[in-house]
Amino acid sequence: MVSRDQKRWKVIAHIVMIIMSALALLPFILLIIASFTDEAVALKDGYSYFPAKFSLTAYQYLLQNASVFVRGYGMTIFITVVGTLVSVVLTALTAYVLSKRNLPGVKIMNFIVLFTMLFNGGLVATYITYVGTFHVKNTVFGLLLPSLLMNAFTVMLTRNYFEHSIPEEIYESARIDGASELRIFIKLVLPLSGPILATVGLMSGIAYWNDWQNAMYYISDQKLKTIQAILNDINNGIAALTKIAGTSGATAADLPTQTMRMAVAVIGILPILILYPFFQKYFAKGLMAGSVKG
Amino acid sequence: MEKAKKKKKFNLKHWLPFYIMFIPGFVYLIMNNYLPLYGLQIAFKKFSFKNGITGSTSVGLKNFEALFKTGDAFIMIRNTLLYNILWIIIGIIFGVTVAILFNEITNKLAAKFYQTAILLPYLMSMVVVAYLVFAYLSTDTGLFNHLLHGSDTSSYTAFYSEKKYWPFILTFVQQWKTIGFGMLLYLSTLVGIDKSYYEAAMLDGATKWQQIRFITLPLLKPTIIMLAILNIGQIFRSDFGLFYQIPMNQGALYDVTQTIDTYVYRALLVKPNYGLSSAASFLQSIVGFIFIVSANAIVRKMDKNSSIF
Amino acid sequence: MKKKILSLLMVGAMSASMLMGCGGGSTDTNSEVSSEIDMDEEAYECSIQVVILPGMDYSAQESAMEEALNELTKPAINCTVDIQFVSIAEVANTTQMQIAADEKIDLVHVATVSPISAMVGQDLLLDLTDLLEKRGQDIKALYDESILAAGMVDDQLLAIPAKQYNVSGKGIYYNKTVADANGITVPESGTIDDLEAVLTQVAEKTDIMPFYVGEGKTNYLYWLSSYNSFGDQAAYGAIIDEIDGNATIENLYASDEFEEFCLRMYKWRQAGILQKNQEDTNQAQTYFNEGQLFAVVTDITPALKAQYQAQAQASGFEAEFMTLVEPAVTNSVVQEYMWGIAANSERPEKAMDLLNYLYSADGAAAANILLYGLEGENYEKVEGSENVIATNGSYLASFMVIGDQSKIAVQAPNDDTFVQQNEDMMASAKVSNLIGYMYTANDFSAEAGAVSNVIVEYLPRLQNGVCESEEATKALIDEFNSALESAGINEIIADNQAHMDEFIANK
Repeated sequence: MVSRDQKRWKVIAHIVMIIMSALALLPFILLIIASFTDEAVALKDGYSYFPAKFSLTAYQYLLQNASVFVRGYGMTIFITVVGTLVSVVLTALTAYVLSKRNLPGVKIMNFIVLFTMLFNGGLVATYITYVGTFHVKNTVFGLLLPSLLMNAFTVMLTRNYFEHSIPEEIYESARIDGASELRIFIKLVLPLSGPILATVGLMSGIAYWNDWQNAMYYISDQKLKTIQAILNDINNGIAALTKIAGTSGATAADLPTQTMRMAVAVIGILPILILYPFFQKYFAKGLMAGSVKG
Repeated sequence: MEKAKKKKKFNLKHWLPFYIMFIPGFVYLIMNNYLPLYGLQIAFKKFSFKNGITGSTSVGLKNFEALFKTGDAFIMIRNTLLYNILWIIIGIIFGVTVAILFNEITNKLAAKFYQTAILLPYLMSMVVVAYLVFAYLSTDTGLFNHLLHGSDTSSYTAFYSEKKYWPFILTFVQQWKTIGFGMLLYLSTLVGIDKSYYEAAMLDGATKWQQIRFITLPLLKPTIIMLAILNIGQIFRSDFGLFYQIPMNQGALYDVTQTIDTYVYRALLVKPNYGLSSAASFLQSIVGFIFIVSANAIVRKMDKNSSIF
Repeated sequence: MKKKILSLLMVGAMSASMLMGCGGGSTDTNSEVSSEIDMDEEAYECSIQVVILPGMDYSAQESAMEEALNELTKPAINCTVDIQFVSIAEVANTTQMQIAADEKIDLVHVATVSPISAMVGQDLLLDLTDLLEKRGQDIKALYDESILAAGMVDDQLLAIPAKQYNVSGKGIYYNKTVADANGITVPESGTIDDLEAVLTQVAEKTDIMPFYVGEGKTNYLYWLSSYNSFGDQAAYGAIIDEIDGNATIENLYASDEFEEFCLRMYKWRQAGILQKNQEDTNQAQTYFNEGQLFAVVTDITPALKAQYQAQAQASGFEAEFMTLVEPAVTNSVVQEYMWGIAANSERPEKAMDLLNYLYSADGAAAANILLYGLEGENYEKVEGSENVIATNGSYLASFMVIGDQSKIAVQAPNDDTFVQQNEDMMASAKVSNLIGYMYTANDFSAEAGAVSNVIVEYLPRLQNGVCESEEATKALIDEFNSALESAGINEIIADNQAHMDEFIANK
């Protein structure tokens, strides 16, 4: 009886997942095909799953500018790895403290964190602070520090996990053993926090990977530009050119076409796709200590 | 009295490590969020780059008046609020449902595939998504029109000039793009649930539905409430890319696509004005603040443990 | 109690941070500037923005270029050059932020996406009146007083024109190969009716798109009919036939010309002249280069002609031009490319020295480096000419306009006649009475924002002629205008007219 019920749920789950995967994959496949579509055909007929003519032009363009893109990738990978690691540590520490509901002053501390989600000083003030006070311009810190390192949302999410998903008995028994708080955190709490740390890591990783604003504002040295900054620069450049269309000497001929932008989007996403399944294991059922059988 | 004092002393020693652990994050927030806060003044000033933020002349509430001077003020506020409310609700429903269903899948390979696929839309930039949506919905070259009507061009639907479709299209795109992420948020809680609860329930002959209702949902409740409260804080803001790029900035659709953020962007096309955009952002913060504090207060009344501050 | 703590905390954090906020140090511009260049002091490093296409990277040759420049500028004006390459997508932001945070910035690009109209009212640029008088003799010699006035805003000289050939016709350029193959003759110049006749033939005889207005957010009427517009897309009104002496500002969108234009666009859509609609975000240029479009609106100058023709040739066809609006010198043409000095420039007088030098006869060599890069490396002289060069595409300062255009090198496909062509065009051009008049709508920012919103809401549909009928088109124009009026366009126009009358009276 139970097993049949379970089976039915499994079937429903698979069906829903297949539909959702298809909804996600179909546009992505279109994106890939678009990047291989001949520009003239794309202009005339729009994008389709079966374009009249394929072309490698978009990727040839990328190859021609390979040095710029490769350097951009290098920079992106570096800041993503470093940024994500620091981000996870910082978020976990802060969230752990906030999860102690009995801590004197914890309400104010919570509010200090939450407040940052609502109010911000705006671009100009943030820029002046980072450039004028902290001198991050044209350094890797300009890519790592502004806005991405830690945010109230992930801190709250992590706090919620520490509060509700880690059994209180674990703390009790550790304290009886006389373990220090830091030790409890590292030896007991963190190992039990795989799913949430993976979530935070993933969110932070994607944020760093996709970020172009920091590079746009805090980096003028081309050598330090990240891949997304380069791609975004190209997209914004097209918008800028459209704005001055008719008057300026430079024209669309000098810029990547739409199919090239599609190719550029593909190479921006692919690395995450390749790496993601490694992260995924943290979300698999049965990983939690205390639970059994995979 | 004596006792209380003693307790306090003991506590300080006990709690000190926590305060120290809080320092790194605190320092970052000071640097990233609190130091630049003086920029909020711009909302009340006629901003001059030469004189800087503190040196610019004050204009009182003029920047705020400018926001409401337009006849569109009602439309943009209505749109911003309604879309947000709708999306918070269905975001929870879809996110939780999908997370629960996903959790049923034990085949590791399938799980890997599904999860990677579902997260894909989240990784695409809005500009690219806008191109893809256009590939489907464009009047003359769109895949939908070709699929539905073949070469019968007269019956093609002009999606980009018919506003009645857009509340649905925007909702679909928004959910499509964020559901992988939403699922992840709930999943991190779900996989943390001790399996022995379910084993016990199964021994008692509970059906899957009963298990979900009596074990999973109650355990997910704090996460759901927390995410809802956090989202309510953003109720006056909108995803600019979604409302601007996806409808291709079509004038005919402004009735259902204009939000506070797109309005400010379009208003500043002619002439940049930091005062106006700061005023808009300040207003969004204030409204968010009021909403989030009220929502939290209501939650605290009903269930103290679920409130977030 | 709890609330008190929270509010105290907020106030504390805010006031603490206020203490730090003192960005954008102000330089006293009115201090006495001597007219002599001090050659004994240590050379000042002056920065100059070079705006480039996105995705380009010239950092590898930056120092070589700067060295070559310094060899010229140091002995001449005791100044070294710091090139700041900025992508067109980022230039507006970069300039603002650099000034806000008081970073090193001197000579500023006042053009393209960051034109003077977008930079006024925020104190980004220094008043150059005094500096130009004392240290800008070569610039003054190059420009007419009236042309220089194009940089005047409220009695302050905020920018200096970048080019002396400030004349431009408007019209279309078209695919001559297609016209020839189908026996369609296109007149060299004509009216919009002549254009319609041509495009109708194209629609009948060929299967390529005759005309394209794209998203329609840019008003193409500007290239087809003569009027002087204020603000982006005539948001502050326009003067129809200003060049012929008219001085009444009106709402362009309520004018007969505009209605006629919209009805014509409707007609063009029915006739198959317009095929794509406002959903299409591709640039007309893209279609044109792919040979899928017959005609595109454009400014018409000798430089643009040569460039578009070369580009069309590369795509395998021939391009030719049809003038619809006779060449004229107007404020907007002069303001297309200008130079300014940043409000926080450390030594504005040295920045003016450098700018002046670049426009001097001796400075042409330095201007060439900024424009074309290094000889041998990025370009070669074309055989048989001293002044014409061919670049190899390794350095493209696409948005850089600097130097005395009669002295600097000319880039192929232009030839030695380039200067003469421009001189001729200048000589034949009418000159607007309103050069030097600029309206900033400073007291009407809220209305200006609302008007801008309304324009992007309605213009695209009208321009693409997508309404179901003529009546529907007219109804939409009416709706458009009542929206414009409630947004406050008439208040802006009245204010604009008052300012302009004052300007004319003072002239």
